[in-house]
Amino acid sequence: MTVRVGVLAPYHVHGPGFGPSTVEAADAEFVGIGDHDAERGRRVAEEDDTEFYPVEELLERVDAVGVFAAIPERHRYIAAAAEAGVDVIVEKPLALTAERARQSADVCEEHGVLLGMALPLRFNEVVQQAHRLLEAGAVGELQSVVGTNRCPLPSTPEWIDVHGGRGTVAAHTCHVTDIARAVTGEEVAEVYAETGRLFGDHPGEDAELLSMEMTDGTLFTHDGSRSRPDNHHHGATVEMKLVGSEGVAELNGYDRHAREIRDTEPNAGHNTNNFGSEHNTRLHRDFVAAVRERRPMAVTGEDGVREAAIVEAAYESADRGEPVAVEWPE
Amino acid sequence: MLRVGVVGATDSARVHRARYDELEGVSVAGVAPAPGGPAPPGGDAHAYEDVEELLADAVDAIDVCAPAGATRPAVESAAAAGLPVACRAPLADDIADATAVADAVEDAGVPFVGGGPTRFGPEYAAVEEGVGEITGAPGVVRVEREYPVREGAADWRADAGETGSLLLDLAGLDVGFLRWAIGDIERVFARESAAGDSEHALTLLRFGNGAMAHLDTLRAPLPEAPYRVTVDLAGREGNVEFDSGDAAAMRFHDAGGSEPDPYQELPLTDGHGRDAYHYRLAHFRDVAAGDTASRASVADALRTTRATLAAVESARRGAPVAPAEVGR
Repeated sequence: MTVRVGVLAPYHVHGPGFGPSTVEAADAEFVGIGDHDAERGRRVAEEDDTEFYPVEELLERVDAVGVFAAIPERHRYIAAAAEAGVDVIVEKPLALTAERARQSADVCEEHGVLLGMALPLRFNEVVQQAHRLLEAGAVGELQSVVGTNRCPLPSTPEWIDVHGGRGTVAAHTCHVTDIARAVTGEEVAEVYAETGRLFGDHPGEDAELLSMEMTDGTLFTHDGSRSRPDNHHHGATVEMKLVGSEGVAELNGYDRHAREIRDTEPNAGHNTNNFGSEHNTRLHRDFVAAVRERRPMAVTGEDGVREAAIVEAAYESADRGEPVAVEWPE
Repeated sequence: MLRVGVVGATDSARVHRARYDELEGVSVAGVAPAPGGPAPPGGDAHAYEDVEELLADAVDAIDVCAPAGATRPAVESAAAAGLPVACRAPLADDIADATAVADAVEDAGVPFVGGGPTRFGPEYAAVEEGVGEITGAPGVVRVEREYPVREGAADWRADAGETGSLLLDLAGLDVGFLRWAIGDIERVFARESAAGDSEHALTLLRFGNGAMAHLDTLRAPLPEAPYRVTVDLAGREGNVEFDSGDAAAMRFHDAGGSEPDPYQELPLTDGHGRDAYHYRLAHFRDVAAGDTASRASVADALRTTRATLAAVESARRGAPVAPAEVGR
């Protein structure tokens, strides 16, 4: 069965292109874009070579949608999809508070539709290899996880994804907290956050260091700072170090590359030709297969609630200057 | 010829003695155990029973290479004898002793060199030079320090005579470096984990100028691993990065599985074949001779000690601690 897929509110940079990528990855039809912002919706529809529809009309024509609205609007689109019986995959974070995230998860459950998160790193084979190593006891008893998801300072508002002065904690925490939760099977219990605006002049924090403890006492730090120079040959980082009683495993999700050094413009200097993970392709495949098979996606709305709770606790910790317990409504 | 007395039997003491033998204008006249510590091997230097005996004989300067918990009596005796003193930060394992050490040195008005390898090594200097110049205002710094405990070193703690506190022994080196490279530290949040013989500390530093640091400090039984230091310093305008793994001038693999000596791997040597220890002890020689002012004062060593003890207290309390709060 060819799954009919749409995209709602392509505000976030992962919105444009999501439809075509899904069709390339799986047996799916990209029906079109739905958006309450018609101008934006039409523009992206043209870029993606597809149709624009008013939101309600798109929802009648699809089995599933990707929601890429700005954070404050995500629930509105998720609820509309749920009420129309349409499955949803959504950009992270699900919300900035656990309670709001729970509302989104609940509305999908009430209407019997699937809710998943567009978090691809569980499909990254280096992450999967680290998980296997851990399960095989290669590092012994796990004591600490050290993660990074750094990138250059964004140049457009849609990359910053700021709401109410929230910046990189909202944008750059969930990828690594999700894989830490997946690899350890534990939840984050407590967060201490240091945040700041140290690299640019956009609203919202661009520096983030989180020091966390997981439910089994494992230490977990995360660096989600927008700290990479534009010209760095490794712009985005996804790193995870697992420290245990018997060994240390260090993974780099983006490191398989050939180095290129140019004397001439454009892009003079060091660059990388990455031949790394196809985790995005596998995310699209899982999304489509889940819709077809009526089963949960790899990263669920429930994961989204837990991760929203971490983001919420991080902001609270930064405000209060002390560690904060991570809590979410069941 | 400056005659130095070396107090202590730590790994540092051994390395310092080797460097003094290579340096011109200085020699090791005698050695003594740190109070309560094991006797160092004599070798070419005269071995004294204790610091007092060493001071009674002909020495021009004292280099204290004792664990942090045993430095105070040695430094106080040397200062009271009016001799120039070298002592790495942290000055002691509690703030009262560290303050007493600093007071003794300042009251006696003797020349003093504190700091440590991270203030004098060419690799650290290269990073420090880039702060501002390359990086613009510093933002987020990541430092990793991995100290591998070698096979057959079951009693390494006793042999090394270190304090046993990962934060004091190892993270303190990076605290000292960053205080120099970035600025004064406003607060510290540290967590420690231990599993088997593996000790790990993860420390966040917040500087007065807004910058932040993540220190990843590991001491674990990893017989095949090199001693490794990495620094990734990101600022508004650029990065400076250092990885000791990249900088290894030679890689050697031995079918027989020889044990690398941690002090031969790091610190690195520059084009003159000199390392951080060489530069620090050459500086001590010049300071002791009255030829130059110290680049690493005791007041500065006390501030590094305070910030390092803030990490120790933070890990204990599970809360952020300001250096100013330590000992209150």
